[in-house]
Amino acid sequence: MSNELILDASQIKRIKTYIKGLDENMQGGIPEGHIVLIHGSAGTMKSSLCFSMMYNEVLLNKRNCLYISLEQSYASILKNMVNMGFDMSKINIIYMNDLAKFGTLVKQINQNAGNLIITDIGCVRKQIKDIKVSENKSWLNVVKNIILKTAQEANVNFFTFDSLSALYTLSTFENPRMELFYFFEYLRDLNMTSLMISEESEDKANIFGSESFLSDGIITLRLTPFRRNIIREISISKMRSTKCNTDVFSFEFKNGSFYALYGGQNPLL
Amino acid sequence: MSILGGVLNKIVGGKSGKIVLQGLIDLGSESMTAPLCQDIDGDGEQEIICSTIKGEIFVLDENLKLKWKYISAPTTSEVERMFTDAQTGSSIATTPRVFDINGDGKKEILFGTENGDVFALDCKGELLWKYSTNGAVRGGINIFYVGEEKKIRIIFGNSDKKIYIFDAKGKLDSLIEIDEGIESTPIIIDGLIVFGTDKGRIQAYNLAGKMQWSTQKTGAKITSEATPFKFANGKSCFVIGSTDNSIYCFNTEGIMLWSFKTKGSIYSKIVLADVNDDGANEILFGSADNKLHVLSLDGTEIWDFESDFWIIGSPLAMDIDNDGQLEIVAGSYDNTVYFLAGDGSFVVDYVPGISGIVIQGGNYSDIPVSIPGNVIGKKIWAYLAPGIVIGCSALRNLVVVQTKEGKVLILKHEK
Repeated sequence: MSNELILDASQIKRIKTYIKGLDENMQGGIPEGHIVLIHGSAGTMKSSLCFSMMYNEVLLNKRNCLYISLEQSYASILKNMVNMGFDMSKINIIYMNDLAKFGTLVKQINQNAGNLIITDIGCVRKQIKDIKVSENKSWLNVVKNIILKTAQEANVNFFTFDSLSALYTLSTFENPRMELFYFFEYLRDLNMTSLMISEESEDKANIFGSESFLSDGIITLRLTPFRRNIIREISISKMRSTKCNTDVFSFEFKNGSFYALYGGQNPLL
Repeated sequence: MSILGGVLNKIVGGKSGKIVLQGLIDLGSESMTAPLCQDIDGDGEQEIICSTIKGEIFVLDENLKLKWKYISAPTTSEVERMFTDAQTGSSIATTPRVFDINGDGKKEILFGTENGDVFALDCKGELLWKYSTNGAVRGGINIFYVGEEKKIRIIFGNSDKKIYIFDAKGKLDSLIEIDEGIESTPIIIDGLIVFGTDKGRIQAYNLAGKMQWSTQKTGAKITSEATPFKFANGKSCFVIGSTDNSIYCFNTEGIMLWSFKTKGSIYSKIVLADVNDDGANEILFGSADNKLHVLSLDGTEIWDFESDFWIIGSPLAMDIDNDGQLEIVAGSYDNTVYFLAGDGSFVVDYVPGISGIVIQGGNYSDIPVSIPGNVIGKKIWAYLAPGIVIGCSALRNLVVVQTKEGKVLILKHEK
């Protein structure tokens, strides 16, 4: 874990959200090493926002990033992002869906070139459905091993986990809060800046509710009826080590960029 | 010794000397098991056997010099390894067992791993055989003889809800299907296989694999190995600890004779020793209530000793200072190895002649007819180890200590 003592706020390194109007309201972005929940219901653009952050980090800062999808396929993610106008030819994307070759492939990644590694666990699940997952063999371990190998071999230090909700349906947690605590501590030990997508359930409550206490930050996305429209909104519910504006902003995507607008005010329609 | 003399001795009697470090080695990996001291190669010198969470076996000589090291490479595929915890996937969770399984006059080392493999090594670290299961082998391996021919059988439990029984060459002899995973080490007592389950049952099967009796599910895992003993009437019994905070005493018919509740989980094997020299064994065990407990065989607590954190490993009863009396050695998660007087110490309510210690009301006799007061644990010495103390083992009158961080220490008493 990064245990360096910070003596000045300017020493805190941050990763931008690349949301125009939001980074300015949170001292420039998310502190490196933070575990941040990206929380919202279906259709709030959680995955798109996370992908956008990784895309820009790869493109502009040559950072190696990891996107782990438990359910949405690699093809579906890319199709969505291309349709939004992201030019995939500008970045190097490495697709991994074969656990048997994962260790070999990850060693071939250039540590400093800037790569977006996408691991499609949904595809892996289809391929290895015959493997018996016994009590001591869990999908959470698969996720942890992918993170560990990419961190060690490819210098990955920024990742998206899509999603915690899918993990809960895939794995049995005897003691959710404790197991989530150890998972988060595992990420902190690796100094991995982590975006954990958390889906809002129909009853508007998290399945376990522990994530919000264990995480370092929460960015909340929501759909709000306004007159005869549905508008997207974004707010920072929690961000440790950050002075942030907690106003609710309109969340818009236009001309290839995300915007946070009209903080604390009614949107102009 | 009269009661009065014994009382006075326990109050004022002290032991001299101190505990000092004789040697230390760093295994380089974390460990989950107590060390084991045995002469495995028959040269008259004991070896110290240690294991790590990376699946390594270290065999050291009495001076902590490495004799050999074995790395238990997993037989699972890369895909299967992705499903196991990278940090503990190959770990050895229970102290290896040593036994001469092939009758060559030297002892072999048997152990299981989190990956589900079981290994048998000869005394020089050469692999004799290994067997792969589908679960995790977290408990220990036991060895017993069957039939008139006294054939060796090797037995262990598995998280895949099976008891495995092998012959001495590593060939599977029989499998017993259980409803629950097993982390405890099975024992054989009166022809029964007795073990605890991950759901908190204590069960007994005959060697043909038929269940003879079972207790109710408590939901709290049993990880410890049962400790057998006989009462004066010759009846076989055993004691076993549970993570439901209790230890239980059963006879081999499945009738619970007594139980004793602590305030913390009990993970390790219970030790029997006559630590107060009264001619009967006492029951010694550590608990996650931070205490070492000493009970009589009927389950009555004689005394306890409280450390600053959990006592997980089994205690030792040994005479470290060669004075003819047993000391109890207990390692704690507070990084300390405690050396306690086997017979404890009195908290005196009143002793004739020295009544200034404590004044209490009542009628006194100058000749006490019963022990006046309560017995508590009496610390003689303590040694601060460089890490969490996982377990200890006796090397003659020395103590070998294993820390979680992978350090192995030899401690000795110095006058």
